[in-house]
Amino acid sequence: MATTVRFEDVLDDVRAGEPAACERLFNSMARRVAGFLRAQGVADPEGLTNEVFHRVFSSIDRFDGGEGQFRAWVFTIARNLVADERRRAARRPWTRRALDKVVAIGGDVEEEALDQLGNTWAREILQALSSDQRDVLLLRVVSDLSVKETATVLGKTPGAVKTLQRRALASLRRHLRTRGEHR
Amino acid sequence: MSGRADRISVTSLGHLDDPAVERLLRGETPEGTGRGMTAVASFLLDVRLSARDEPIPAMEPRVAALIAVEPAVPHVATNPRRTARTERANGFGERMRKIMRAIAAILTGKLIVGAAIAVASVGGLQQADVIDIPGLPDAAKPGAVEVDEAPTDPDRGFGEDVGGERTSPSASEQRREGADGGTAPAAQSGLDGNGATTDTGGDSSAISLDTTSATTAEASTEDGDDTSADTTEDASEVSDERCPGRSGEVPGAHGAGGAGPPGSDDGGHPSCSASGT
Repeated sequence: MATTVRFEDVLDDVRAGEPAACERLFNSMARRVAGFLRAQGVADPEGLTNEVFHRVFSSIDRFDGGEGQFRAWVFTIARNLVADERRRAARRPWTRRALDKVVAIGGDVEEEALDQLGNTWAREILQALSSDQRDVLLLRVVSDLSVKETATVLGKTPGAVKTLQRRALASLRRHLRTRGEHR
Repeated sequence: MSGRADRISVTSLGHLDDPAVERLLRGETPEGTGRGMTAVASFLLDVRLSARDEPIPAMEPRVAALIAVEPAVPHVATNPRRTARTERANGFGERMRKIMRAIAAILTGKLIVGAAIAVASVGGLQQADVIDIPGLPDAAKPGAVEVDEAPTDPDRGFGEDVGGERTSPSASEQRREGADGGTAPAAQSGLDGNGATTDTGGDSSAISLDTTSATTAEASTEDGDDTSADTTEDASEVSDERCPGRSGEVPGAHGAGGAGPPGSDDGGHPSCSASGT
């Protein structure tokens, strides 16, 4: 059974290049990575998820640690890719606008994306948070990371993460109250 | 009062301990919190459930190709771990070979450049007579041979005759010396056809040229007298015969034309200048 397999064993098999172990690891984590990327508002969550795992499998030899460290490592890569995409979008804003226009015309992709995260309303509320607050909330809620793992991903102390998540929750409550409705 | 408490809770949520925050993040409403916290918990639960409903992305071919180990050479070993190790070892060996090739190329290039610099330095020092390596040719000597050995009379250089620095030779000696001094280059110039030499000995070639021109000009003024002066004739003799200053017939006759320095191109008679007139 898959539940009886220790993560360390799977990781060893991945290091050894066993395809089945790599596929198992991909299937167990790709969903949360894609959810994190989608909630961050990236244009192509599936493509970026594949990029994350391409980097993971390319440099798995350099990784040393347990399950918690591995998850933190994977989401660190994902977060760095999000930052890269945002930098690219900032340099070429016309690309993002054109893509939004295409999505708006097509409709299907946008609908599919919004279905994954509820609706535009939820995403707008998340986007209203500061970048650090949003990262903390998504890593804790969507990626299901612990405080320590989140601190590793963000390069902060656990205390700073706790402070950030409290502020994020407070800000979230304020935004929800301002909007006055929640499904 | 409630407004102030609400502001405090909004900014810091200080009234919630860590377990309460954890429950809130899981989508549960902690006891003792207000209606606002319930909305937050509900929102976070929606976000969490939406993430769980996220379909597993399809693995792209590039990722599949990366994790699918396909040995280039069919092997009998069935252990995939061993195959992967071999692949990694081969990759490591390939990288090492590339590094070694790069190092060898750099060393070879440095050797070549260093050898070239050393050869150029030794050659330059040899040329400058700083060092003397017997096997190497001295390029300064051929130039000196051209300058020093060109006069027919090895006792006299061109500069002595032309420059007029000798103090008290007799008139005949002066003439003879002037003639002798001018003979060789004049002959040389006649043979060369252009009379232009490159070194300071070129003064002598200028002498021969000027002599020829002066001869031609004078011959034209003497009603054809000796107009058949042959170019193959010894130019120094011609100049010696026709120079009025030499014979003393017309003292200072070529003062106008001889104002220039000996061997200059201003028409002055160099042989006369050599005589000190």
